[in-house]
Amino acid sequence: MIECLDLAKRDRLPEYAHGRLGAAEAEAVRAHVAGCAVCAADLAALETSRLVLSARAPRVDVAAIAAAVTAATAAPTRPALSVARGAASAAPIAKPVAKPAARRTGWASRPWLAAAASILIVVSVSLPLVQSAGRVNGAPVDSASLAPAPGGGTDPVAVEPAAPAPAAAVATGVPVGDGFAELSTDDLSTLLAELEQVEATIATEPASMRKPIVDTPEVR
Amino acid sequence: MGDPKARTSDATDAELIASWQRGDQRAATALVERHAQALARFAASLGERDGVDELVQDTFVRAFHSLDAFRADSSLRTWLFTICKRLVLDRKRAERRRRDGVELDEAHAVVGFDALDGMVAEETAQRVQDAVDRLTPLQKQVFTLRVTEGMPYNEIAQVVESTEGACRVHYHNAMKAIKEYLSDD
Repeated sequence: MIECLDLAKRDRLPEYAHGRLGAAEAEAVRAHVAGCAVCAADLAALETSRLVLSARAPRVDVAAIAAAVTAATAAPTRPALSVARGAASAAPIAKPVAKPAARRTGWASRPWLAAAASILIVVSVSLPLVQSAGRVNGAPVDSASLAPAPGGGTDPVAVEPAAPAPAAAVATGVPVGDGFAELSTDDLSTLLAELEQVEATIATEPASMRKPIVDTPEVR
Repeated sequence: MGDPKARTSDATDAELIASWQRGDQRAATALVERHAQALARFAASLGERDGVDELVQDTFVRAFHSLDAFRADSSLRTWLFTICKRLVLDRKRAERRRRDGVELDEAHAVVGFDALDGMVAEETAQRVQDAVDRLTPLQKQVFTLRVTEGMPYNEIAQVVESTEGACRVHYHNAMKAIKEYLSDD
């Protein structure tokens, strides 16, 4: 069987077929192929195979892949919410990240849920307060004592519970036990200050967040 | 503004990577456009026919997420092919587990192609495809990378995790087998 002895040129046939050789080397390969039946057959098989394999390869949606890849690699690097909401999709990214397109979870992704939770906190805390209104430790409350304590008066450390602290305690530092009747005047002052802050937060929420979750049909 | 050259097709892969790392997402798009179809061809040589879009997409996402680990001593395309191959192997392993130990025929014949575009007669094309499908998996990978991409042996060796000399032998054996198959009547 006839073999080609110029292995260097035979090895370069793929580069020649892809047009990746310089002019001088390409001309040398072309001249060799013209006089070498083995390399001529190799080149013919190579070009036919290239054509077939390329034509039969699955066609991918390059634009869709590019869009998905840029979205997956860019989204988590947006530093601020305003950027994420307002920037165009081509907004610059800072650095590749380790996770693709992490979705926002928790309160940030559901502001209405945060508002609802705030309302629930207010109701659950204020209901027993209303029920025991006017009474602390079984005695009438002096309204003047409900004013904020001097110096702010909300430091949980400074609050001395009238009774031993129960197992459960909320973040305010005010002990929560069987009833508000066990609270001292300072405890109530602290609690009321906290409630005012919660109510102020709710009042500043956008109107869209205060919309009812279920729309009621319009009455005609 | 970004680097204007990054938006042109003559920017190198390294320049596009640098532009993307500076925040130009069009550079990422250009890289995908440049290499996606080659990855699809390579995936086909590995026996992948279903979900090639997803495979190519996953390859780019994984590559972009770990670009910091990319060493410029090999080409981006070589690196992409290496990632693609690993993803394919992961898929095959997962599929093998799903089939409860049933071995896959890695050199299975590929069926159901679209019609060719008329450049090559269907009969000839089918014979070439049959010849390629008869190659060993490693021969097929080396042959495809060499023939369809014009990839040099040293880069093929990185992709298939072999040596340059072994890849050269695989290529010439594959070429010989294909020519013999095509010459048989």
